[in-house]
Amino acid sequence: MHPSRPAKSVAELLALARAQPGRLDYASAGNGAANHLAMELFKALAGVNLNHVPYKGAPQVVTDVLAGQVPMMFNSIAPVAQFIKAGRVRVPGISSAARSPQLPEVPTIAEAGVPGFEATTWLALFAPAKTSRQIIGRLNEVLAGVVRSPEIRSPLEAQGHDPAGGSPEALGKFLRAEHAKYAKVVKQSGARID
Amino acid sequence: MDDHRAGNVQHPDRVALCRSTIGRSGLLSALLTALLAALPECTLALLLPSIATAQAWPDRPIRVIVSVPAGGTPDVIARLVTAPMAAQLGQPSIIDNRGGAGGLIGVEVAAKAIPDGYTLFLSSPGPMAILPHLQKLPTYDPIVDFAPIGLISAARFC
Repeated sequence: MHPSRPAKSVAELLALARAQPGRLDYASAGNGAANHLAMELFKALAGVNLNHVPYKGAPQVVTDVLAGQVPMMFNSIAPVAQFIKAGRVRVPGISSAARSPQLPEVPTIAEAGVPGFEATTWLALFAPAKTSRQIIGRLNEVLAGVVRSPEIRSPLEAQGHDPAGGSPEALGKFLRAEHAKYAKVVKQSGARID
Repeated sequence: MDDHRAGNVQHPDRVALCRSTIGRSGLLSALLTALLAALPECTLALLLPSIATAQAWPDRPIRVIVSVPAGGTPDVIARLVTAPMAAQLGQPSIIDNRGGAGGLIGVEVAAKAIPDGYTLFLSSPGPMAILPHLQKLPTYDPIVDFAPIGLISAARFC
């Protein structure tokens, strides 16, 4: 959140949004981007109406939020960590279920007044359906070893990502849950592609 | 008389061989015996391509489709993770950046790719969990058209 706006906490942000329904803007990397739907989930669970300003891709949107042209957005921590430190953007809350190791003093949005809110971005590897099980198994084994290795773990963390891993079945289950969660958010929010 | 039949009749050696092993009345059973003898080989021959593919894989570079342009976090992580994976598998990986339409272009290409282990898809939530719900007529099904391999990493928003 840009510091020119008076909201320092999630509660103050909600009060600000309720005072001007549909007039407080938020930016995203584009229609259907993870940070677009994360804010739509926030709107649905918090019961507030914010106005979406979609951008085309990540770099420009961060520049504009830093300049105060759009007052707020969800963004992964690593690319904006230096601006948080310098006080150029404010962080009322964290989107995950647990607090961030990088910003341990900032509460999660769920604990700050929007229970049940959780939205993360992730990266996962898939193959076209019907790829042989042996090949899938071998790729999973190699991927798990790579994300656990220290040489990969620290540059991943520098990108703001926590290494994951797990079985193909675990990813399948996680994907079905994410798919169902966003189906609901899209339906509730009426989000669509232009 | 066609050439095939002529061949059988006109080569005395072959006729003699047939007669000596099966006799005149055993032609049908000889055919069956020959077929049965050949069957395991046929079955093996049918199985061989898939066994050979799995054992030889990968014998050429593996393409990893990433549905964002080069330079962003997903692209950086794709390169970071797939290069050592490919090295362990003994082949290079090629990152194929197919950005555009919020990731739709990349995911559609990946969904239609040949499932031979030489095309993979590295995705964020957009193409696999969000975009299909935003399409009026979905052009792919992330659950049906893809086989999960593994979760790479996750990040929180602030």
